[in-house]
Amino acid sequence: MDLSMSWQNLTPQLRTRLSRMERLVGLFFALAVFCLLFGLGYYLYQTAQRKGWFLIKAPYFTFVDNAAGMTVGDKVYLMGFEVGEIVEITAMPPFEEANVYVGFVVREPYYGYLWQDSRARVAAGNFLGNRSIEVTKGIYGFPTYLLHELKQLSLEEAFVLKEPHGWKFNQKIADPSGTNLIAKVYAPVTRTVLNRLASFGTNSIRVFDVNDARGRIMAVFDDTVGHYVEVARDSKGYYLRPDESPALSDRIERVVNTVEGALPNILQLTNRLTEALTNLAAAAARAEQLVAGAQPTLSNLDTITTQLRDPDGSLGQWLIPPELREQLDQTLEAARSSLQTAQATVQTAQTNLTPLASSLLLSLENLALMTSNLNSQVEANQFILSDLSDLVRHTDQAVQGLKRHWLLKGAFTSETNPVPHSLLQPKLASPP
Amino acid sequence: MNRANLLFSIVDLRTQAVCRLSQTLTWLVLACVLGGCRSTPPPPPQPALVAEADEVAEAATRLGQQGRWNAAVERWQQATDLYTLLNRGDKEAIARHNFAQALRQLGQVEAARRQLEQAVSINEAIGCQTEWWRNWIALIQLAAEQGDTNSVAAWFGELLGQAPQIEDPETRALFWNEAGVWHLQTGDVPRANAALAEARKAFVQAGDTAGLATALANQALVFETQEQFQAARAQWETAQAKFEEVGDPMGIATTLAGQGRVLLREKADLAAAESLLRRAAHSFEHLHADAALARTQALLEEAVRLRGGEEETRRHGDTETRR
Repeated sequence: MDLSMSWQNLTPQLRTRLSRMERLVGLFFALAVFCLLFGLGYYLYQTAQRKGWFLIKAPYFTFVDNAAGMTVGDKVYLMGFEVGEIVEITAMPPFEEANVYVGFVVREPYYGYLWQDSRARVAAGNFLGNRSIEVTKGIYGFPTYLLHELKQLSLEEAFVLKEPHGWKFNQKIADPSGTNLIAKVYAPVTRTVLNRLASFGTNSIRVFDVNDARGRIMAVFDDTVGHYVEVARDSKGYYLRPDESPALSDRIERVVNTVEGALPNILQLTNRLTEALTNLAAAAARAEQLVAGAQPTLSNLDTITTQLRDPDGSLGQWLIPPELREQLDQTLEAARSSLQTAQATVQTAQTNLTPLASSLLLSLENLALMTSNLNSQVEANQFILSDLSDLVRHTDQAVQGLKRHWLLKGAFTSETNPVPHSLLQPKLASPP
Repeated sequence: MNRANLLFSIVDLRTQAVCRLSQTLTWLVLACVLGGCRSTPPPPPQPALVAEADEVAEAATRLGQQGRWNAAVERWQQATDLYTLLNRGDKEAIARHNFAQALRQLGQVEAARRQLEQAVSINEAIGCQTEWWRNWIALIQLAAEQGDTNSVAAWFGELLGQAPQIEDPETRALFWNEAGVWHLQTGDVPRANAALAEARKAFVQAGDTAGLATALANQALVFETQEQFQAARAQWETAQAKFEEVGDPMGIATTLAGQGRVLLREKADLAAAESLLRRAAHSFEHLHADAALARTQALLEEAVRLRGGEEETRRHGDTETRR
């Protein structure tokens, strides 16, 4: 009310100017909203393109023994390209044969490479123990998915189709004898075939038109029935047979175990050397302690004997009789000789320790040289394993040759693969 | 002296001759040995895909023997595809037959029937008579399981006349065994007996002990139907011995149940009948043979009931005597 009153109170010039200003503000606001919406739309479009939201995604699944190293969202690879991602990993029920269910999607156009014989290879991804799924390109069989609508046509409808066209059969049809195939999946619908079918009294055929590609997946190949069927709503996709290799950590563990098994003697030798060096070091330390401990004793004894020799010393001749002095002299002489012997022993030990340590050092250097040589040998002979493999193969060939020899072949019963035969059990009648 | 020299020279000459002879013989032996090496060249290597197909079929057979039917189905399908690609009709037909048997174990009867029909067509086209008959026998077994008696009757109508032409004794035995079981089910006991006698003869000719045991068991059932209990019991015992020989637990359990049933019907030795039926029921339970278990349990209940009544009567008789 107040606003309308104040608007009425304004002069016409001022009113005109204000309404122009409002138009400008409105225009600016509209432009800003348009830019905002455009930016948001562009961002969404770019994100969708980057993440492949507009692309057709074909679902697949496989079974693996172990889910270690795989998570939902991990990339799926084909010929080195990222073609999809894992969408589900779950454990199978306890009584199922398979252990882990892995569902994944493959983006357009890569699912076109996946045929009946494609495999889901589970391989080591990196050194952290990750594993990834790599699907392999199909070679024979049929593509797993179709973008074409499956149709059932009567023969009359089929006859009026204009040639050339892209209609293909979606069924196997044999002649009445059952031995000759007239039509098979993906075979073109031609008048010749239709005429033959008409002569056998066929009324309708199941077909699809390869020129009529829809923007979504219409059919999936069913291996059990041998033709394409429409994709069910709750379909988990096409089952790709797994090809699983053990995790990298397991392989590394096996290599480490082999190395550990191959080098027990070297480890034993180094253990013994360490033990011998420790014992020697302990012996040297004890000898040094002995020498250090004997040194003050010797000086004290020398001082005492000097004083005892002096007849005017503190003790005096009256205190020490000549016999006792002689005995003391003898004892001290014996002690001195003992100490000299001990000193000689210690010196000998010290003298011997040096060459012993030198020879040990030499042994260690030789050992290092040996291991270095071994390493360089292995590095130089990169084909040592293939040579060994050849040796084993050639030996096997020689043994096989001996087995075929007329003189020796009697000793080796021929073990060939059993001839495949049809399995049939006689029926046991049940009582009435 | 001269004589001695002469003697020495003669001995020397002989020794030299023997040495030469042995040397020549050694060379001859070596030549023969080396010649023999060239006589048998190694067999040519199989093409990779053929070897793969054979390996897959072998793996499928092993999986079937282990009772892993899901995996076996997958392998047999792979083998079928590979043999089809390689245009090996004979092996493709065998693979389809075995694929059908695996599908049958999983209860996929319709799919199994389709595979068998295709195998029949292939064997007919390539003229493999024995396998063709085996396909038909499997089809008959499948139809009988489904309760499709019309098909079974029609097929037997066509095939019974040609049965003497079957060359392979094992296949002939299997066919006559099926025919015997069919006649028994339709109540034509004399023809069932005749067919099973043929089956026995052919199984003996083929050296198939398990098949012979099955035919004997089926014949015991025929005797049982004719109420020849003595003969039936003897036949069940013979069949049991054969099943024990080949180590077939299902066959052993069936023969035990058969003997128990005969004793029960005779009302001759109810204690032995109860014991036999109890052992058979225990075996069927272990083998997860539910239908056979249910039948045996019903018979066991009857045996226990009759035996309880007999005991009661005997006790009552004792009491009366004491009075």
